[in-house]
Amino acid sequence: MLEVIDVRFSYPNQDQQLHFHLTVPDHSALVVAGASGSGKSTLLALIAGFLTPSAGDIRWHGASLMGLSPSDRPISMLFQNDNLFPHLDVWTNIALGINAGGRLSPDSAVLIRESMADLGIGGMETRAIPTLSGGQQQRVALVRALVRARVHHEHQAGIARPLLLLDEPFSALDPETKENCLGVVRQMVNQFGLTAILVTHDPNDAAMLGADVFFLKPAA
Amino acid sequence: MLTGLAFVIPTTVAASGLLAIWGRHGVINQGIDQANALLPFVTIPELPSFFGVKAVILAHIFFNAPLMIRVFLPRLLSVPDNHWRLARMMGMTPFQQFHWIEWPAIKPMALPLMGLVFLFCFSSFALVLMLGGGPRVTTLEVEIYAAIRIAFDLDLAVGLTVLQVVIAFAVLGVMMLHPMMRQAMPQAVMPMRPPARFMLASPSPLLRGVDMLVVLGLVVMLVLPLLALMVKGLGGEMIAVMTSTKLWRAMGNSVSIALASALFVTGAAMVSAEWRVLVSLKTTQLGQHKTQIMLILMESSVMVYLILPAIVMGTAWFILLRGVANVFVIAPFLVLMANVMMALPVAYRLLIGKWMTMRHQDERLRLAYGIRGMRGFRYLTIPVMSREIGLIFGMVAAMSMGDLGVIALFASADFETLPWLLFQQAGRYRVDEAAATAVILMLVVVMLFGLGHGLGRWLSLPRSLYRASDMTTHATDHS
Repeated sequence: MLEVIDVRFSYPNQDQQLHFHLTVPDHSALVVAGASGSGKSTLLALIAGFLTPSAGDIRWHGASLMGLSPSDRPISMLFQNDNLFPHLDVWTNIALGINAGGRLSPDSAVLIRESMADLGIGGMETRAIPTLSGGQQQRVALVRALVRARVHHEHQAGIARPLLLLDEPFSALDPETKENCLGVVRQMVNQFGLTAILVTHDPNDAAMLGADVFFLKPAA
Repeated sequence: MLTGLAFVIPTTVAASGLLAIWGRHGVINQGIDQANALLPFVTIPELPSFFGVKAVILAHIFFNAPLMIRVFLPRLLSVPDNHWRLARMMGMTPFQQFHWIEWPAIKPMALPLMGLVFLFCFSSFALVLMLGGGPRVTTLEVEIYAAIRIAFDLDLAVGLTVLQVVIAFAVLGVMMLHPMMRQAMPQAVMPMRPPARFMLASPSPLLRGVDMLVVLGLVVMLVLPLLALMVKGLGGEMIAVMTSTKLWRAMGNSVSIALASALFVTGAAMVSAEWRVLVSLKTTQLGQHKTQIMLILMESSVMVYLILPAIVMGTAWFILLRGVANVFVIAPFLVLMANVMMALPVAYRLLIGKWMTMRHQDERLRLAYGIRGMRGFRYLTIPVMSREIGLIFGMVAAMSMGDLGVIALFASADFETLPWLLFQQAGRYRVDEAAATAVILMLVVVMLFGLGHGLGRWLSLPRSLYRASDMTTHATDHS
């Protein structure tokens, strides 16, 4: 279970303070909605460790994540854009998510191939990122998150289930591709037991993902 | 901002600044002398002569390190924030971050920039002349100058000039093949805004410390010579130099040439850019092939001056005109011409990118409403391009003011410029006089650059066709 306990955060030179308090059960998906400026993306950045709260605690299975660097947290994150390094090919982009040095075990390599095939991008290993469509690019990023989550799950004994943080990654896709990608996330949650948090503006996403919705109120 | 200094500080001033620290009468040797006077039993040896290869290399680092920073830093800052976040999420080490993110960002510019720096150093004149310390450390340009002014061996000068031109054209060929090379210069000279964020900062305190040390070292390297020069220049001989008629005559010549060059270059760059736009807009009328040829010819003719050193150009003028006119009488005109030709490619490059974008964006609107000629120029072009126009004016004025190139060939007792006067004072070991002249030159250069900045701001002021008086008249008519 992920617990965000009375977490407070303010951006420098801004008066308003954001306040978050929520729990996300294991093996579930949660959709975070709310008006612009309510702090949806900030919440994910705090969980991921890109931002440091001024107060409160973030716990994963009872253990505090505070003080851990993003790479030491049980997270995989997808952003709205710039998820991939455009100068690297598909395979290298995925492989770097598993090992930043680029070295892969045979098991991980097999897992990448299988996941690519599952998501309909098999055979694109050496394709350059700019030659892919928006949907294909997001699926490459999804494969990286999926494989990273599963490899971490297998090797990091202290971490029970990886956490998938999705910061509006599908908002720019056409409806069909978006539904397809959300289906993949739902499958990742159901089949591999991941816990996913999706930030979105679209209320239909929750239904497609079969997720509860958490509304953030604008900061006072 | 400090890195921008290297583009406006004249080479003669920088050389004087370096001498003010490392030279025989520099700050360090003065400190050693004072220490020796205080220490009775120990004698600290003075620094050996600064002139030679090490001085030339240090001076070229002074000018080219900022160029590298100004090209590489925007590229690193253009890496999306999410890529740095991904690096942190993936747990990349600093080396892995360099390998996967930073190097790919700067790689396209690395080779072209090295080529550009090579070109600058290869065609270096004033720094080598002032700091080389004799014939052992020289360049083709210095040899051409020596052949004309000292040995008066015109055959040798022609031979060296031809060699320089051949090399210059070979480099031009490479430059035209590599589009990034053409981008390197405008990126380097455009004003840089300080980064709003510090995503580049290494998370490791040790590496952050190393980064800080390197940055501090560069700041010291850039600022210290200028500070030493100010201290030396504002002391001793400043009043004597300020009251000399020679200085004011040289100043008058330099400022006149600087302002005239700035005016010509700014105008010529705008006309060239507009012409380039018109050719590209008329592609369908001219045909693809013809347009392509015209564009290549035009770009090459503008670019060629970028790689032709002033001395080469001056030698060509000297040889061409000496049979028909007294070159020393028409020296001001020749210096002006050389400055205009050499500044034009940089000015054109600075202007063309944004000019093309602006004109292609609003061409249909201009056509639809018939906003052509001066009206379009005043209300549509100038406000958008004001920053660049001001920058070009200031930069060209500063460059021309500080140039010690063609003037070295044509200077005489009747026609001197401030850099030439400074060079002569330094050559006669009048160190304090040279330092004072260098400070004056530096201040005038900064003022001219500021003038360009002010011009840019003035041009950017909103221009409205609204006149309150028109409304009053209109209302009165109705009543």
